Amino acid sequence: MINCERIRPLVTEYVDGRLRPRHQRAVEAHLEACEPCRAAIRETRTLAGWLRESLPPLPSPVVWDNVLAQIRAEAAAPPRPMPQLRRWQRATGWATAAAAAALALLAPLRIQTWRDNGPANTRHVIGWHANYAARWPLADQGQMRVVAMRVKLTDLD
Amino acid sequence: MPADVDIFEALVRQHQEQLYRGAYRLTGNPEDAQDLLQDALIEAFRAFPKFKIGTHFTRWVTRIMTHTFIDRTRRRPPFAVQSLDEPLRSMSDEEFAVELAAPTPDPQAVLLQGALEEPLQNALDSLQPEFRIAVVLCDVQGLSYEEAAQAARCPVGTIRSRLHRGRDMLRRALGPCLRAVYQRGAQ
Repeated sequence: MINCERIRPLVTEYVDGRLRPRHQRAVEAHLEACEPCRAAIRETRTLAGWLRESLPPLPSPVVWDNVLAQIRAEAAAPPRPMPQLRRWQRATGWATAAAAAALALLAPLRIQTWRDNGPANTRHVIGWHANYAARWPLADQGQMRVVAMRVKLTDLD
Repeated sequence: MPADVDIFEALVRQHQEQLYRGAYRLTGNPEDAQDLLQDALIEAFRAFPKFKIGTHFTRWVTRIMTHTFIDRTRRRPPFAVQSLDEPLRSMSDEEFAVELAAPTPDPQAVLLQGALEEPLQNALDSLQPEFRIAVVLCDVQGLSYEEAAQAARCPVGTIRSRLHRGRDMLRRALGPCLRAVYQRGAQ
């Protein structure tokens, strides 16, 4: 028989019907013989019911009229301008675009040269480079030279 | 063809009690509740193109409201938690039993008459925000564990654990009220 210490952490899921069938059966078997745990279940259910059913004092209709007036003012307002990029964000954006363009221009030359060095090597270099450039596009500017030297691509020196 | 703002307004008016209840249970007072609700509804209106008509409007707004509440709570000074060693109640067991006895012994009717409102909200206010959020999302607003986890931006296991602890703390705070209701009902 499971003891109370192991049942108590399951009370919430049991009340919400979220226990697996065998755990639910274990809890129910324990509850048959344990009044304190039955009380815990009962009180949790009552409490959840109170929270679900109770209504706090509601505001006057004027409050809703004011809130909806704000919404209508928002709807009538001109569209908000796009946030201004900071200088470093614009510079980073341009540098990334330039790097991507340079790599795109160089790609056909690299692939042709790599094919001459064997398909396995070519696939390895392209895959490695694509992975690296996806993560650090700006850092690739210098790294590409290292990659080229490793696979003996003298055209890119 | 009604404008978006007309559809949005119709949805707000249809669900206004439920929306206000969530905001009030989170904040604990009318002024903050209205503030939170206004900010959340403006955000919701801005995001309204993403809302699928026919799905749960209240749960969708509740998610946005929870994000707003969490952001506000993080900006505030540390939350002062009332001691839970003292059971929270605004009346003694005897007074509460008398309240239940007249005019009707039905606990539901007593609830609707508002006798439990103050102790219930006091108990909620005593919880730290993360536990209060879990209880309000799941028990007040009826979100599933998964929906509540998404609203609170935490794993499902975390929301389940916070809900369990939040309910446990509320049970201890409201113990006399809960036992009085049961005893009255058993008579």
